[in-house]
Amino acid sequence: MEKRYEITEKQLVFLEDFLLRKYPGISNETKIELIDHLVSDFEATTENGNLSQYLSNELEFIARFVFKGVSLMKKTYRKETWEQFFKFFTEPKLLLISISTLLFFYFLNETVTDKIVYLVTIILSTLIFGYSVFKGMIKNKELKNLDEVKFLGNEIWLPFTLVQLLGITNLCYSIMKYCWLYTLVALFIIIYGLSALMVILKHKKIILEKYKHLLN
Amino acid sequence: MGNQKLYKGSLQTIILKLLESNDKMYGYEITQKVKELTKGELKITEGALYPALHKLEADGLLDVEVAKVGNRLRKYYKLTESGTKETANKLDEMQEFLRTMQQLVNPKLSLE
Repeated sequence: MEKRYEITEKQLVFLEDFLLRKYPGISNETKIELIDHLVSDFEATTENGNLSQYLSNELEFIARFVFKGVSLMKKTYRKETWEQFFKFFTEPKLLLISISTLLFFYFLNETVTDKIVYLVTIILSTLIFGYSVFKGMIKNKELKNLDEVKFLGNEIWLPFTLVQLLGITNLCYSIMKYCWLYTLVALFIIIYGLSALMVILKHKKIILEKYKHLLN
Repeated sequence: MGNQKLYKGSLQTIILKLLESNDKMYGYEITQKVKELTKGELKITEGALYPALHKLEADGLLDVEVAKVGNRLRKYYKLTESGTKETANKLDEMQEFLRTMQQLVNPKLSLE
């Protein structure tokens, strides 16, 4: 790539400070890509090396770039979790897990007391939640502030919260009167939890690979 | 330059094709490569490029790698396995589209 000018260390620090001052919540990944683009363009097009002048012409692009990143990240995790969820009903190996879960809750509901059925649901969902936190959390100081790390565990909260809500509102005992209805609710809680767990583990691997330079 | 609207619907195919031929590329490099290959006829604006790249990444067609280049970090994009398959599909679709357009705008030529 042809360069007319080489940005100085001082200008680079100025650019980073400018972005952090204007957009304090900017994610690391967005910042990396935005700075690289602005610097590459500035170095290739500047006539006089005046960074402030260049930035004043790019304000609109910078604003659009920053705001699109976060919503896309959340949408991606949700979309992938739902896709994984539907795979539990279409892929033969995963379908076996879904059928086993369905039958397990159905017969549990038929044979033991409501309290035990709810207790089993809460234990299983807590185990999935706990395993997700334990295995999926990225604890590295350098990475934990990235948007993709912050929002990674978002979806696992849905089944966990749902099962707590069912208990707090006593709704679970009303639903349990209809065996199949509770079986379906429990199936959703377990399968959505497993889907979220699978997405978390997949993305943890991707994130660690992507940012391996920061960890070395 | 007046053809920018015609190219707009082909942005994803252009990005995928470039990444197929170049292993990994970063955003600014893509804009410059397109400008160079089309001798300035097509200019991809950053406002169109980055949302398209992020969408392809979100759809699992692109992988990302961050590397240190000089005094700053750079985000590189490369095709995933499904991205490679999708590139072949998109290029087939594009060929088909060009053939159809050829038949419409120049029927004589397409018969020969």
